[in-house]
Amino acid sequence: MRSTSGRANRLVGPRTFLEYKGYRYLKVAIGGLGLSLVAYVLEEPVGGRSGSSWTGYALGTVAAATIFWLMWLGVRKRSYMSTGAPLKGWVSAHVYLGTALIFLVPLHAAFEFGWNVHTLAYLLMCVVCLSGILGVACYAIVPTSMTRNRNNITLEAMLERIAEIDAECRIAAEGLPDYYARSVVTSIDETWIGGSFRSQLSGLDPNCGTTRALKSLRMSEVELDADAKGQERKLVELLARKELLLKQIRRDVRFKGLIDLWLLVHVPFAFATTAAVIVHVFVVFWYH
Amino acid sequence: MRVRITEIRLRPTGKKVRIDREVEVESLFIGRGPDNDLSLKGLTIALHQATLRLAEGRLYVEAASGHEVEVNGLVTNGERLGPGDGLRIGAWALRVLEVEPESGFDVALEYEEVERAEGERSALDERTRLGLESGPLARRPLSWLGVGLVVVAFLVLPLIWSPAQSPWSTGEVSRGHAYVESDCQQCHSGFFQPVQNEDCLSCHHDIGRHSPATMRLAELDEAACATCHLEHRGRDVDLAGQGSGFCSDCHADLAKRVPATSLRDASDFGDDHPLLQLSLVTDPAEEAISVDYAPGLVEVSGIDFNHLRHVGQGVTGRGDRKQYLTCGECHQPDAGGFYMQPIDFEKHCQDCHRLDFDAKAPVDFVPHGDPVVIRERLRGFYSTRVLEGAVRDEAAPRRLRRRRPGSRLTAEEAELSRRWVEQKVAAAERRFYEQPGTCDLCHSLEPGGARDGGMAVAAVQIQDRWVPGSAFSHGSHAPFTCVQCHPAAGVFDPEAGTALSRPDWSREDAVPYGLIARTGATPFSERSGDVLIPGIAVCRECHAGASATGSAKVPSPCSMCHPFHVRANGPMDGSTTLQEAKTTAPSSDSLGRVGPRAVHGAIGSSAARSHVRVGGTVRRVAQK
Repeated sequence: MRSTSGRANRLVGPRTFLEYKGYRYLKVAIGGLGLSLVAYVLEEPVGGRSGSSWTGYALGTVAAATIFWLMWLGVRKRSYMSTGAPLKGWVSAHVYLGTALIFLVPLHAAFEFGWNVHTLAYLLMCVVCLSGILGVACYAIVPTSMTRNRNNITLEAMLERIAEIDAECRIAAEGLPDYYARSVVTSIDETWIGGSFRSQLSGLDPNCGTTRALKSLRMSEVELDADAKGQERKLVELLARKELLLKQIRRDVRFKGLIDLWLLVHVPFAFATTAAVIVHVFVVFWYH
Repeated sequence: MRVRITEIRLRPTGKKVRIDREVEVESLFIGRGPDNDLSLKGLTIALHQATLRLAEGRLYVEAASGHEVEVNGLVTNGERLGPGDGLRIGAWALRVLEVEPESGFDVALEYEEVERAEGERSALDERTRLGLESGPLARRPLSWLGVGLVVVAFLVLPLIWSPAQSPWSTGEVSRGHAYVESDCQQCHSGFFQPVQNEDCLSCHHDIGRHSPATMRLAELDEAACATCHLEHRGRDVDLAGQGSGFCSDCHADLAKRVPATSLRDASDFGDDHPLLQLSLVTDPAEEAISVDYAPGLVEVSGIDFNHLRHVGQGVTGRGDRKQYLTCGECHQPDAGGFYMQPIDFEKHCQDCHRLDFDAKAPVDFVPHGDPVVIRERLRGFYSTRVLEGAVRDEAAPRRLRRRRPGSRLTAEEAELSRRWVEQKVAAAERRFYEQPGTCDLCHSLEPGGARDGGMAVAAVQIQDRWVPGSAFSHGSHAPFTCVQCHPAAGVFDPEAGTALSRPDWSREDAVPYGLIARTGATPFSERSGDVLIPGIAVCRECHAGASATGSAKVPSPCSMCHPFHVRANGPMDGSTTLQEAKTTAPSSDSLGRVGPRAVHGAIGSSAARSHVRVGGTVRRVAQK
């Protein structure tokens, strides 16, 4: 009983970092945004609000510093020896402060946007933030489906089972005519797991060797004696089990892909954003 | 045939052992099936794959129907074999060996599994590829690509090829600067420094200071142009458009900040603005004084003029044609539509008020102006008549009347002529100065006041910039009638029997003068001393402060009437002093506008004054 209730209270998934220390960094983000908004509203510079007013410069500096700090998570998460704040604290701050940037940067720019490198930096940053939000959403949704699909079996165990089935198929097909042997070879040699970007994310392989082998066995018109018939039934049963297992594995691969996919957008765009921010700062001070 | 078959088997220890066996067969069958003479494991091998056959002492291999064998690396259906030849079936390699005749075998073969079937799991792992990232589609190469694209397209390329700098611009420049938009260095002359005032002044070199050059104010003198004039905010953004808040930062309590100022505090046109300060002439020989607007102010311009007589009644002009004057007949806006041009005798008065002195003299022969000049013109006129022998005057001496044109005057004739000319000049002057309704109709006369001892006309000073501290545009107020702001000036008198029922005025031009019929209570103007300029209350009937909301009035920022840059204060760059600025722009007023603010001096008086001749009228230029 105690362990059950303990498990219920223990945070799982994204809640571990979203609710970190009672939403500490959500409060920090909202507080910071509030202060920025007050500064933005209070200052009425000559010539109107803009990125080059004192508030504009201050908010821009804060935003740029935040971006560089957010980038530092990539370093921090690899340093396992760190004695500073726990990684989930970092992630919590990363998520909330990063999201706050979507609102902070327009205040810095006084809502002036255009077709230029400055707005490009903001747009790239928005892609980073939105992909990050998508990532958090993936972490919240996908693992549940993933666990359900795995049904207490690890991917490793599933692959091991496939290998066992392959070996059993080889034995079962040994005494059967060439037609069956060929099907088994097809099932073994032409069954691929994972592979291309698309096939991993689709979770399907329309050209799966096992599916084709099973189909050909079911369509077989070869005359068999009673002994061989028994072998054939065993073979079909083995391949059918393999096919089910493959579907399960491919779903698992697909879920894993979904969890990793956002990072493929998040990280390159984060670097592009950093480059654009540096160009933005350079240009603004080169021609200011 | 007798065959020795040797299997080379790999022991788990890694050692290879040879296991021989003998068979006596007609043909040697090879395949996966257990019924073959040589049964080889492997699902890729057919149940019956090939047959070895001896014919006439030669060994042949034949592939079973529908199958193939590989002999010495070549795929074939059948082939003759000799010692040393190799066969490949599935994962197995077969070799034909030399047979010693004494051994009794026809054929010797050895075979071994060369492609050892690895475990199913490692085979599966080879066909398994997990993880989305592969090749260029991975975080690291994509990150480099993103950084590279941004840096090359938006930093490197613009640095080496300036047309690519357009994405650097934070926005379109204002309309007036559009022609230099693509040339960044035109304004951004220095790198890593803001736009300098010199950059602006290189084109806007005559832009005026805000405060007088004698009044140095660090916060103004050291301010960057770009502090107020923010560029790159779009074509339609007015670079000069500043709210009243900006002005009231200083002007709300200016006296505290700048004790030397004579300006009064103001922060909002609707709520906090001093009375209009009029430039009022109280002595035409002196400079106008600055007074607060108040009802009942009296101007002493040196001119006697009656608005009611001119506008309110029909007048008889040249040719005795009765006509009705309108405001616009005399008050005509200047080219910019801002102020009314000065009243000009020749243009506005002479049609009715003729300076005739002799029926034989050409019309308008005598100029309106300095009596000394008039006397000279008159002398010239009569002397010419004597010289031309054209004296017809009955009262003139006979010798003058009978002179031949062009003949030389004798000394006696010259004396007669001089006396006659002076008589005639005196008669003409009497007509001008003594006959009521000629010069004295408008002017005060000063007998003996002229520098030649003759008649002089008292000084005249007509104000045409009543509120010099502001700029006013009559053109902007064109939709309104004159009398809406100057009611007393537009009163007509129905009692005078003029029957002013919308006469020709409204047809001649579109300006509706909207004259007011005089009734008992209507204020009207009969004296030239009446000040017909409206006070601030009249402005406030339509204008509210800049931040006024919800009212039907025009929100009016300070800049609507008060420009920030005042050319008369000297240029912004401080290259010339105030004194130099005054002399380089003599006819500009305190707001830097070039305008006809001329003061008429005492005409013909002997007082030492500088005169300039403008359009046939003698004027003295105001000098401070």
